[in-house]
Amino acid sequence: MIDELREELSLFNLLRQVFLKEPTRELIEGISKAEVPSDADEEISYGLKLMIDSVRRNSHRLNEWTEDLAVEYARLFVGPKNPPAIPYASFYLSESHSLMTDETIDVRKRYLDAGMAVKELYSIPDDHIGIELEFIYDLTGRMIELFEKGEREEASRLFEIRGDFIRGHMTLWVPFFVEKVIEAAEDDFYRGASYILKGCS
Amino acid sequence: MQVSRRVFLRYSGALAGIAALSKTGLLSLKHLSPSEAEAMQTEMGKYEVKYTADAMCPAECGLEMWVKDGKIAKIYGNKAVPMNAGTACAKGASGQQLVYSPYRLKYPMIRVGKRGEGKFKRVTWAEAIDHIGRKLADIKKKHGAESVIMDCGDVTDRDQYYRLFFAFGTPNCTEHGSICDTPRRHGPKLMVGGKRWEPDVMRPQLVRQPDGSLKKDYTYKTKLIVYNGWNPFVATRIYYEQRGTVGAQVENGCKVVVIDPSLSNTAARADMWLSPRAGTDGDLFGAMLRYILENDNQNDPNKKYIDWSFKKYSVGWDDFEAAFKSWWAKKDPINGLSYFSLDWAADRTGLSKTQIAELSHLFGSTKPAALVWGMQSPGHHYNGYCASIIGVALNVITGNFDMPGGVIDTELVKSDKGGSATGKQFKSRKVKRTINGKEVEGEVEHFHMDLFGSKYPAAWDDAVADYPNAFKEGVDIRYGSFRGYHYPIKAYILRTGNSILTGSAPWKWKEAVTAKDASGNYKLDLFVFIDTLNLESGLYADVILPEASYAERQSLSDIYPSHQVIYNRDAVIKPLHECKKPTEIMNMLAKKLNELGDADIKGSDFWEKYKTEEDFVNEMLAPAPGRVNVGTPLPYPKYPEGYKLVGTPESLEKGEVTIDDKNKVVKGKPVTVEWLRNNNGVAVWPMSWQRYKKHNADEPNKAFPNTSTKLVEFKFDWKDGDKRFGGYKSYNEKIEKAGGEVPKGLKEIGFDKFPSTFYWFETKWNPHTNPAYKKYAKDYPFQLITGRVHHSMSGTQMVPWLGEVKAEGTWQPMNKEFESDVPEAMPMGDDPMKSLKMKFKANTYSVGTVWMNIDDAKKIGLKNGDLVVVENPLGKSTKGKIFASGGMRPGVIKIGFATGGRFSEGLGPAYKSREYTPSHSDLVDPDVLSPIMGFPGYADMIVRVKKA
Repeated sequence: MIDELREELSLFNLLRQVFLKEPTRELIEGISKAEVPSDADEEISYGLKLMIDSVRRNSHRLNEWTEDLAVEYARLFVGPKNPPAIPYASFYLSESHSLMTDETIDVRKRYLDAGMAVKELYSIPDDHIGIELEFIYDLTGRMIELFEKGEREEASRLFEIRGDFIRGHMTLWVPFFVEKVIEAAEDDFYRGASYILKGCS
Repeated sequence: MQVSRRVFLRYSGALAGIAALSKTGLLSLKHLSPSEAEAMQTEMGKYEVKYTADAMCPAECGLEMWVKDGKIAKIYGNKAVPMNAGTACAKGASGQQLVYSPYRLKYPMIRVGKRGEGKFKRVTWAEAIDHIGRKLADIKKKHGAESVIMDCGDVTDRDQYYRLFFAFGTPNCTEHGSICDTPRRHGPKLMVGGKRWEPDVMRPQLVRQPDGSLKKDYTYKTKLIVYNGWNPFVATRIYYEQRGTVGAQVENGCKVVVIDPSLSNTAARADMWLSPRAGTDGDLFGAMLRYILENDNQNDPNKKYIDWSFKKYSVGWDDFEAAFKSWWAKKDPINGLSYFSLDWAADRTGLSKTQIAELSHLFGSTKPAALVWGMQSPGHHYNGYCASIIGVALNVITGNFDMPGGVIDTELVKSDKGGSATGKQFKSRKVKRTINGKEVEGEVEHFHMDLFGSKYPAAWDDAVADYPNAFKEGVDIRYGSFRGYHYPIKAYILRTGNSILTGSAPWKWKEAVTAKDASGNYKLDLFVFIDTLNLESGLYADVILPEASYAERQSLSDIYPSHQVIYNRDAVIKPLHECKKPTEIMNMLAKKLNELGDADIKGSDFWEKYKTEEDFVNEMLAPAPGRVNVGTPLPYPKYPEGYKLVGTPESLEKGEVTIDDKNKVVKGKPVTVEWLRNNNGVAVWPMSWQRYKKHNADEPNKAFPNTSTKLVEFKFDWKDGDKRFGGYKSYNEKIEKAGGEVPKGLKEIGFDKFPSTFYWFETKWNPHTNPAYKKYAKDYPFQLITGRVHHSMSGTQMVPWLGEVKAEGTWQPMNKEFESDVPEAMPMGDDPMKSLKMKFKANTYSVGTVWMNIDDAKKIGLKNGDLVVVENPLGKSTKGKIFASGGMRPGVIKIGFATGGRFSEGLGPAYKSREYTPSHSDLVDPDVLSPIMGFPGYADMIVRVKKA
């Protein structure tokens, strides 16, 4: 169980960083050194391979490519033109397709149940894909610690919160977000990240 | 997402090498302490009510917003604000769609592609401010601060930017007014020192009663309103006119006449719709004035048009009348008829003589009445100045100016605000430049590109439409201290405006902002775009700064009431994403410039002085209401007549004041943000009328209006003994000091200085009134006009609720079938959503159209929905679908302002229809800038139409 959680921790750590902000050169270099595991799940493995290959293809121009990825990140998720893959859950789940809807507040409540809140509360919508992934990442990390300390009750509580969040919230919108990224991405880096995300769902 | 149930994997090993992953803590979330979590739990779900002012449109209605969980939950009209008295239109109620739009600007961005390409990367505020600061510092060093233009686009909440750039050392700070309607406002400004004339229909009004109490008065007094090219039911700068017009009709039997080539929504509500040729407003007004002068009979109650008492409160009528009458002896080259005669006006306007005579008689004999002209008539024509001057004269001589139920100059009576916060004082700073080898000293103000430039020295509202020329050729200072000085324009900071699309012809703007020098660098070195929305202009910017939306920043309403009213635009919620408030942006940039060594920017003027935005707004409020105690009933009988009033309504009422007899000021407790918050967000002071005369005697009070003589001035430049007076005085003095050098604008119309009283010249691109264009009449048989679509103009098109609603003929459900990413509504239970695409059937979604007369359409074989090319004699064209109806004068075509051809994503569905929606601006002649103030001739064009 703990080993499984550790696997997930690595994946969610990667995903939260990739979707929260533009990749740093350090992260890109790290990815270029990663190896695709032979017994990997199809989609996750495929996604990782896409990312790693993409980084390696550009290894001779990493500075320039880091900038290219920043531009691609902005185009896909930020703007100024309409981003093709809006990274907020409420856009997919609310009737108004806007931000900070009741669905966002629902996510806020789920964070609060786990004793957490967005740092920039009321400014940054709580249901950004990167924040949601960070939530899962943090819960996973805490669960590992709790299991190691033998605090099974609290670990189970967090496990339940995590399960509900994934099943009752993320699976309702993330597949559609992933589809948009795969369709709109001009480079395999974000396409790969999306396959990993898909593989986790 | 149940990774843990999957086949066992070894990712942790694969990813272990990524050091960057292991050392990064939480980026976006934080752990709460139990007490923090409990506090947050308790706060959730609670409502808080805040009062603010809309800024989705310039009506700026008072709003009441209910906030829950840090977000706007409900929007209502604020009942305490008389402008909208508790009502809110669809636009006001749709605020959340803008604030919470996924497509608004969220982070500072820096361009990485070419200008116009739209490639950007996200940067931090520190990086963006550093980039802008360094560029500005470099430009100031190399070319002088005057090489920077700060264009605030929207008039609202601009003062922080003005302050910063005045202090930086450029006088070239402007706003939307310069491309709104300057010719329309010209007459009022010149003759009474005001701006916009509106009918006295704002209700309720707070009125002093004979027993000394104050009462809200809902009574309408107006008997006739003539709206010329003004469409308050759609284009609402002044929202109360919608309700007030209907209110006066229903409750007071008021007649409404609308003069407009198109059957506007206002025309549809009118008792009489007159549909003249475009650009003949001045002709019609001139004919009305002549008719009234020729037919006035003081002994016939039915023809007692003129109220001669106006002569007591004005100066120069005899000169004006003589100059006006001198035209009667002249024959118009276009028709050989005597100017302003009924025959002449009928020939030019296309109305019948009877219609013109009846209108003149109706206006002359009905009292109280209001003749009002809008931005879609004199406002958008090359010679609109003449019309607005005659319009003022018509209202004044018939005794309707500032009468109960008459016409009110809203600029003269609205509350003062801004004060020293605007930073005007920085413009008098002394600066030196070397001109022809000689060092010259002047003030920052003397660098103003228009007021001291070679073209439009009377452009008191700036000539934004001339900026493309300035970007390419620079500025020639021809008047004042720096005469002979030339400087380039190197930086353009555009805030909440979209001048690329709407500041005259877009093709010319694009050309200008992408023009390069010999070394391949952009001539315009820096282009910054500051906004909440992504608009076309943003695509050409080097840096984009996301500004807090109107619900996230603090300021004051900017409105046009019939008496002093002011209300908070309170920050209702925290700015979303990384958007920042104007005060923060001002302080950040000021600090950066200071760090880079700019000695003109001091902490004591910026970040040390304004620790919060409330500090700034309190300083803006300091002069309020700042108007004199005049009119009937006297607003404050216990204070001396003519004294300026400053302070809260409460303190003035209670007598908690000091009276300064030397400066004639009554000063109560200052109005503050906090005071407003405690009083439903709004301060209202008492209404009065006939503010130009003493309340107890038929003589001028010499405190109102705001002219050189404190009288209505029919003369614009004259001497009385040693003293010189008049609205054009200072401009003519400039010309005289420059050895009589005539500015470009005046040269165009053959004037050698600004006229001393009534004047007349023809508009451009009008074959019916200007012989120079007669040759185009056959090939280009249609006049092109434009007008706003209230809920769908410019930036607000991104609000989907509003986009769908049709408006008049220029915004109709004529879309082609399109697919849009519209997810299904909330799925039931655990079911996943089934579709992300939604098809909008053809003709179900409103888009910009080409509105024309149905018989005209038939004649050239067109029917509703046909795609056509509209082409002008300059070879420019645009495409759109025909909307043919009887509600349009034959020979006229109307296209909504900025409703079509939207070439930037970020505007929702408008972008999808860009290939078949027309852009009116594409057909504007960028060289037609009206001669007095350099305003674009938006409605001076002729076109032909053919099937695409």
